[in-house]
Amino acid sequence: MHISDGIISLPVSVAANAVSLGLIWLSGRKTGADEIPGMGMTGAALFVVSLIHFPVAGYSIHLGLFGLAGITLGRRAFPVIFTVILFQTLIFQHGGLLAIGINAINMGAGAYAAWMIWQIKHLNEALRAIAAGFAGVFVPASFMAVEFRISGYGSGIFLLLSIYLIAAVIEAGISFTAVKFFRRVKPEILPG
Amino acid sequence: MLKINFLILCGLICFLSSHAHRFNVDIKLQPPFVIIQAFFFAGQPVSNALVTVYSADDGSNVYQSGRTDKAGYFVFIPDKQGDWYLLVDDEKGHRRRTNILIDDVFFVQGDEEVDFINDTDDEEDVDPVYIHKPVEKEIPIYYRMIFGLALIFGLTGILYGIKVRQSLKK
Repeated sequence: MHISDGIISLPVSVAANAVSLGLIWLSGRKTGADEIPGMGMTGAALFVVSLIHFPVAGYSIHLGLFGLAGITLGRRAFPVIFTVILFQTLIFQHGGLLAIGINAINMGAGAYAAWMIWQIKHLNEALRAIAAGFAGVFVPASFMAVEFRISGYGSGIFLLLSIYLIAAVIEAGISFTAVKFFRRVKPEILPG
Repeated sequence: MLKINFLILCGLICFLSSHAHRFNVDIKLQPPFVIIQAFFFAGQPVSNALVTVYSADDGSNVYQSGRTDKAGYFVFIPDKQGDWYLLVDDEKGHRRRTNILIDDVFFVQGDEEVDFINDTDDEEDVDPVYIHKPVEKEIPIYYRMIFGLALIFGLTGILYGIKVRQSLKK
């Protein structure tokens, strides 16, 4: 899901980086000191979990946990995701340096979508967790597929989405399990 | 002190970014062939990836293009010595650009021992294979993971300290 440099045009990449910085400011302003340890822990989890790779249809994908980040951090997820992507790019070479902005927007959109789903209070909590986990992967994958389509790059929007559909189902299960675990062990992690 | 820390961080970032690549490409030189194998982070081969080879003297001209096979292999025959480069693209957002140095030894060996696919009579005469050694040395994955975690926790600690200090001032 980490786009490499040279795929998205330079002006779009630069604009995406600028938008990302704006979103970091919007999402991160007035962050309380009590929120920062949670953000750090979530960032660490997101960073490490990207090392868990599994083969799907001749391709290799890894976990992201953007849905779970959206559930637990809400709008604070974006600065965390940006930082994690920055470190993943620099340390593991996942994605390009210029593409950090577009990658952060794609994956941040997943976290935002998960957060919005989590806010639908009249739905069953388990259902919200599953939908948020699913959206955390499928929304970024859809964004990416559309970007590739516009750029005239890649081997097809449907192939890409079908690969990430499997990842989204796996993350939905992980999200459900994690929410259930948090509710039982430390419910204050889950807002609302 | 903060400035020194910032400079150290910038230095580390520059050092690490100079090693940038997404999936790995193994290069074997078996004169007259250059054999590449592309594989993902977890060791899975990158099959059907688009490979574009650029000639040594003219980097803008495509010398050859094709796709990796099921096991992630792609083979080409260079026609001159120099610094060749190739671009491997899985067409799902991942790219790797890599350089291959073809020296004069490659062509000497290629001339002496031209290997034919159906030539199975002389089994003892096996072409010497020497593996292209990349200039950069890979940092083990667990070291990089610990380094990343240290950066994240360090950044969290710094931000927490700043926020607490701000709230104490108020």
